[in-house]
Amino acid sequence: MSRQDALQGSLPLLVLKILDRRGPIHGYGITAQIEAISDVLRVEEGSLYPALHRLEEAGWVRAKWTTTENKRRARIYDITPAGRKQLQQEEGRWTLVAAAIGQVLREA
Amino acid sequence: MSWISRIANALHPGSSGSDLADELQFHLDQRAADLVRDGLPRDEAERLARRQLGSPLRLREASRDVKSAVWLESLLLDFRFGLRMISKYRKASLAAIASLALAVGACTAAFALVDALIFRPLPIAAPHQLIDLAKLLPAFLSTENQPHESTSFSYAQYQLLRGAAGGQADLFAMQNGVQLSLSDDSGGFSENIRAEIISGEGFQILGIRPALGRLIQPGDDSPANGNPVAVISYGFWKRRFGASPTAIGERLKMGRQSFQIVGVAATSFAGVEPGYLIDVWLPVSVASDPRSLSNPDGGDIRVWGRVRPEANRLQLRERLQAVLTNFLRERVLINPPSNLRGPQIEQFTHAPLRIRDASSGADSIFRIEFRRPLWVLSLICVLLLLLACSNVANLMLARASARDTEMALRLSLGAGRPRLMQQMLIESAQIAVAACILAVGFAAAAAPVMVARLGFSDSPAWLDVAPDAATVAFAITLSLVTTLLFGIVPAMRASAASPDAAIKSGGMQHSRRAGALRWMLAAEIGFSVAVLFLSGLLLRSFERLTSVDLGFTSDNVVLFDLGARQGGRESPRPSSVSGLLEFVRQLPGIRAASISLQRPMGGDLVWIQTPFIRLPGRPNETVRPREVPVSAGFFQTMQIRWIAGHDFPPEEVAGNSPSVIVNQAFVDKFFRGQDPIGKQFEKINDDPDPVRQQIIGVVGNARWNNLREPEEPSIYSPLRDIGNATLNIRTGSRAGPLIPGIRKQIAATASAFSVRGSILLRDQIDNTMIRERLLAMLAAFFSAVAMLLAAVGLYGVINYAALRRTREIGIRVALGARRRAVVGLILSETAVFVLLGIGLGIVGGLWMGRYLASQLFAVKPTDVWSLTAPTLSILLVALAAVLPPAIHAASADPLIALKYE
Repeated sequence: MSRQDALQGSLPLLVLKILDRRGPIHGYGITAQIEAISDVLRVEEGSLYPALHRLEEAGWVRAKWTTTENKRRARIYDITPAGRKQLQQEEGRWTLVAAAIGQVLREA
Repeated sequence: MSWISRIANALHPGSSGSDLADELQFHLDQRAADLVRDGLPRDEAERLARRQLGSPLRLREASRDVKSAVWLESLLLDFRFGLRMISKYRKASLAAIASLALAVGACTAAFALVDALIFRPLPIAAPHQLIDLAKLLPAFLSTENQPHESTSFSYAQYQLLRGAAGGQADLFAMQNGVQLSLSDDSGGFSENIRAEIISGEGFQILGIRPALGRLIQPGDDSPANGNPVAVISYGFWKRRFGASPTAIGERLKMGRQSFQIVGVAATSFAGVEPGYLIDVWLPVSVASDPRSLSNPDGGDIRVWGRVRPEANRLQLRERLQAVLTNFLRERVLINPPSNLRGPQIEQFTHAPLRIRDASSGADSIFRIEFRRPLWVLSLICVLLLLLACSNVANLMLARASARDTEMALRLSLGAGRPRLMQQMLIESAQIAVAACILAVGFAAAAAPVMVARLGFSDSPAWLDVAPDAATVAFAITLSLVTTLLFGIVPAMRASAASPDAAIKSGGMQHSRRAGALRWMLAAEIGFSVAVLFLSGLLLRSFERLTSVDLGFTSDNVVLFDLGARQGGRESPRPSSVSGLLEFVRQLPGIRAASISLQRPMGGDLVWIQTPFIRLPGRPNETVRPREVPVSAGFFQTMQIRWIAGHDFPPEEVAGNSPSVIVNQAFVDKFFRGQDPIGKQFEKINDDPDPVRQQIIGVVGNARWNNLREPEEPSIYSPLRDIGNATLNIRTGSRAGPLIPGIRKQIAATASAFSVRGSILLRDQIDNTMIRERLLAMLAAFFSAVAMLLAAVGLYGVINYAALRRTREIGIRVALGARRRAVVGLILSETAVFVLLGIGLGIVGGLWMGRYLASQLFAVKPTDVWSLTAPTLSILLVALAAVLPPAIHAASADPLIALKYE
């Protein structure tokens, strides 16, 4: 449970980052990527899609329907320029906060 | 995602929902495939995948909240649902829509009238800069003995003020309310027209452009100008010249003068007097009597102006006041006024000058006449609106109560209270929108009908009451406010329903709701009684007015406007007047003929002479009876009762005869108990020497100017000047068909006179009752509507209450209660609130009656009869509305009633 809690606030950040790095990709792909990179983080699948739709609503990602190799309809997501800018800000903020927390944990 | 797509998603919830399902399904399949690849069996893999993703319903909810405008979706749902409800409760909904439409429509029509007559700015550029000047004259200078505002200035005063205002304001002179008679080519009467006389700068300051030709210019002001000009209005141009450009250069003949048309004013401009369309504008110098223009102490010039945006109105006022007071002080020294003494002179010269906002035009007679009646009308309209609101609230509340179970079910299924309120308010709003549309239609149809009723028969009123932006905005605002008024109560009630209680009791919990209903009912009855009471006052006042003893017989009398014919230099010689009367009396069908200086029953349009007289034996006292100059034969023509003495001999028209005839009221007041014939008194005119008058006859009291006037002491004096007078003719049979013949005969024979417009004395009397007639007509209509609404509301509420208690009544009847007792139970519960409502209505009606007092004739605003009638009629209406449902409920079969529950 603690794993998921840690992820709650940062899910949009991770989604944006994955989209930035791995290009257009569908929702399940994002889950798979996050899990492939980190053993610790697991995406709460129930929150992924509302999160994606919120990002879409905010204009940071865009989505379109495509057909996969095995002729399935899939919705793939891609990051927008606005999303990239947001990602930079969020990433910077995250690093700052993480560093600060680390420092407190070390020196307190 | 944009707003558009959110709204699109709300409008088509299906498509976005299936997209989402596809996306989630894809996720599940991929996950399951991966798990199978990791070695899980297929069915277990699918189950695990589903578990990890979570409830698809919740996911869908979460995503939909993001993807579509939920509020819009819910609005749409409620909208459709509301329409279903309206068609389900068709009768109640139609009643609600109809009553609101009537009330909002009446209010909107009243607003359109008030706006067009009083508030709407003139169609000129920057109307709020327009001002006019008025002097506040002290009471002793007014016939009503009240301080009053006078807008009359002399031409010299105007010129002085205009010079003083320079830089701060641009002033111009006008004469408003001018009626002229247009002659045809041969000098005969053609038509009556309305004119405004305007100084050269006027049009330019007003900012009016010509539609054709030019407007009046400063050059036209010079009296030396040998070519008097006229500018005509667009409407007149179309009416008289068929909008032909050749109208420019044509001449308009009026009496002894003729004016050359030089231009047509812009389409939108019809003068500065709301209520009337102006036909012609004439320059000050040539249109006014030159003598009155050169008189520095008197005149009928109205000073208008446009204040410069940067000007300070207070400073401007100070400056103009100083100039005017100085001027009056000088004039008083040169030409001391005979009727003022000592301190009065000071008060006269220091009469405070006022700068008045004239953005909505001049206070025409029309506006002054109808301002109060329109406010009274508005007051009743507002009452009617409140009545309709409480009526609709009743209907809605009863309807909402019938849906208790529905509301309870929705609440227990998790509907939010705001959402329920939203739904109820939307249902109210639908009714309001429908009513609003109907109301604007009703107002658009009703307002012109009322305007047509406002005008005098020989000078029609004109008001632009077509629904404009302001009117429509008013109707919409009113509908919105009323929606809140009548919609909020049922909405609160519905959302306050307690699910378990409502479901459990299955409709037994009626006490609280019924309480609210009954209070609304009391309010409704109160408003109805108030409307009926006020309407009753107006109707009664009108009835009293029409049954006034005139003192003369009005049937078969026709009045002609008589004038000196064009070309004649002097007033026609008196001998020719008796000649004219002699001639007219010989014409076939004529019973009697006479001339009076003013039009009988002339109303506010006629100036009444009230000279000072000094009675014998009371040298230090003056009184002011009314003086009516008439020719011999007047009393015979009007059939005013003779009491003593004799009429003027025909030749007494001749002039300075001392003979007068007085009425009974005069004798009662000044010569009580004496034989008045041969008695003398002194009349004090402007001349320093009093004129001795001798009473030669006494006649009965007769109304002279209008029906409302008290029976005042009057003297009838022999007619002297007949420059403009009225020829009164009594015919043996109906007068109407004889008019053209009489006119033709006079034109052919009596060449010293011109006979202009004519009107039947009956119509002339009706003209003095227009206000009362209009108010009475509307009052009758409003009373009918109020009774109808009260009946509908009562029936709905009682019917609902009886239905709600079917089971209780069933039990009572089953336990042996007699039906009479059951009916009595239902009736007595309602009766308390009906009586309460009547009480409230009477109190409110009496309170509001004070505002009607000025419109009432011979009726006190606390008239008891006027209280009884509405009370009784509402009681009757209540009984008629209440009995059927009560009897129906009592006669219900107890078995069926109980089973039904």
